[in-house]
Amino acid sequence: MKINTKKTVWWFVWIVLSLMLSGYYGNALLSTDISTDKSVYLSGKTTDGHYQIELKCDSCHTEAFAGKELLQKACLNCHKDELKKVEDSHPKSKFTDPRNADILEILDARYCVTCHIEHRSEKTRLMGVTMPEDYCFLCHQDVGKNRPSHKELGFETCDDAGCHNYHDNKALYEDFLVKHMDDKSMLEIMALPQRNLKEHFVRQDEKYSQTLSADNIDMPPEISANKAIVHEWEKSTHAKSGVNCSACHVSKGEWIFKPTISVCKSCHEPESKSFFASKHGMRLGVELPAMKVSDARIDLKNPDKKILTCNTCHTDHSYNTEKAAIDACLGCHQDEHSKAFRKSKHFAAYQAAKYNKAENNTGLTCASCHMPRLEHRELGEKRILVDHNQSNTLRPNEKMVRAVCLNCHGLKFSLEALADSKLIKNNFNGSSRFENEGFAMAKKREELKRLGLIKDDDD
Amino acid sequence: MNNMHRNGLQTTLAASVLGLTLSACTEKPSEIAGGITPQKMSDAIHAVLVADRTVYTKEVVNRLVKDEKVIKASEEWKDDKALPLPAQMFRYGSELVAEGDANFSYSLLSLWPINKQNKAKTEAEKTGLQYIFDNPGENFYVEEELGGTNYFTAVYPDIAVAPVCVTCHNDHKDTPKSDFKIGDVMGGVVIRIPI
Repeated sequence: MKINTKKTVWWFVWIVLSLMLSGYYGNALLSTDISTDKSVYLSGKTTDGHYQIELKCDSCHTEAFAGKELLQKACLNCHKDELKKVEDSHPKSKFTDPRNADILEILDARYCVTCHIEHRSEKTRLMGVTMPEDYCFLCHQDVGKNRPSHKELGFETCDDAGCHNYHDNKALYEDFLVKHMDDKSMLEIMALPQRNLKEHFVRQDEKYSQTLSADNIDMPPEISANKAIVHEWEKSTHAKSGVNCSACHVSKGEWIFKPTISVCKSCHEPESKSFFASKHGMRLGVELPAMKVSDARIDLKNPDKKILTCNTCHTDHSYNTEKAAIDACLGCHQDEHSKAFRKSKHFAAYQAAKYNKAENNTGLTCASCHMPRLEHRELGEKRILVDHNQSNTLRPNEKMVRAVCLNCHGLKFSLEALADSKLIKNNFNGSSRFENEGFAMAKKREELKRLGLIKDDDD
Repeated sequence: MNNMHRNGLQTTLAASVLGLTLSACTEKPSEIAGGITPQKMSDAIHAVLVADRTVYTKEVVNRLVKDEKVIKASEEWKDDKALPLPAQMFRYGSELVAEGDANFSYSLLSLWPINKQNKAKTEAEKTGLQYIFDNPGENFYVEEELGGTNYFTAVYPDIAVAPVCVTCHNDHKDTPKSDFKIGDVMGGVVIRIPI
């Protein structure tokens, strides 16, 4: 039998190439090593909200060939608490009721991916929404029947700033507008909630009431103390709250030179949880290497390889929250809003507070608005903690109203300010160009109610 | 012989299966013997729902709001640090059930709803709500198909049991009816069981 040498070579080349390609794609698909590049499997550009974890495919695609249910489970794995907290206006339970089966045929609102399709950058709008702007029409086309004031409004304007949101209407519902109708722009008492972390720890253990100094450090004698570091620690809240070197540097009897983020988490669990859900810490939240400044999609100052962990903003040993609340932010963010902060009235309030011209909790930093102090209840205890997920007040920005603005400003003033992109850019230097018509509509309905004139079809 | 025996056995088995299938087809799901009927199940669920609802309305809301005047009940109960309204309490329970896998659902609807989403929508709801209003003391049972699934649907009268029911509904700015009296059928509890 005569062997065709040329053919044999081609067969050999084909087999080798096939094996190499199979190895490459198979390894990318099946490897559990976080350093393996899986980008060949990305089916399109990922949204700004998810791109940091896009290479951890199983964050969302928990199983091969997973159906909608498993995908939904993955969405809720990260977003369930957030939806519960905002008292979601369109919960799944509304749509699983058989009487709404006709709505599901138009819009299957049981699943997040109906409106938020990933990897479809060409049709992704703000908040990762992939539905057309006027999607409210699908279910609310007869809104004008019960609200004649809405008859002439376009459905693409429903979710304009200050009107409605699909999920969170806590600052926008009619009775809330009525209740805050006559709020002044500047409230008589303007103050942020006072943090009370130390009290919480003292309740756990009396040792946290102590103030420590350099004489008290419990570093092992064989490790020479760096004077500068000891000095930084001595001025820190840790030293003033009885937190000695060993609290962070000793684990299972061993001295740890570089404590990991889990050490921070062991005392600051709720703060860590919100950090892991944020754009700063979400990679750590899914056990990927920390985000680097250069990974950001927005234009940042010094986009270097610096990684983002707790200590990036809360510089270790000093843990100066003031620096973390302004300097750390402005060290990276250089958009117009950020650059205008030091000329803003909010910053002036911060300076007045800092130099004792005003009460302590009246000063405003970047974090005051973007990482607000919120009430946290656990086992009957009320604490004021800093929410480290800045997206919670920006997705969309009316979510900032109740968490932040209403501490100092009236509802109408706040909603109108947040609706004006120009005002946001200059860090609220001036007045809003917009009037929120919702207040007039709510007022009119109140008046008609008082006169007993509201009927089924009345406004 | 063996073959004949096997064939006979196969024929008998086939006939039995066919017989059982035909028998199941001729019986209404609500009448299948040997198990609880959808109507009995629905009536039992309703008994629990209406008992809880009455206790909450009379012994919690009406007593604390109307009689003892120590707290308010409010639609915005979280913001107002008040008691949830009885209808809200009912709806929250219904939503929790809907989040699980209970294989039944329930809702509170009315011919005169404050929230327009709670007006009768399906034919069964429209007929049922009208029936319980026209026939005080009676329930309404029907089978309906929604989204490709068949349901046993029951509509039970929801009656004004305490003064707070009447005053709250009559005074609400969105109420289409403001002359309710105690004892009136204000709406209906609709329970659905897939069959």
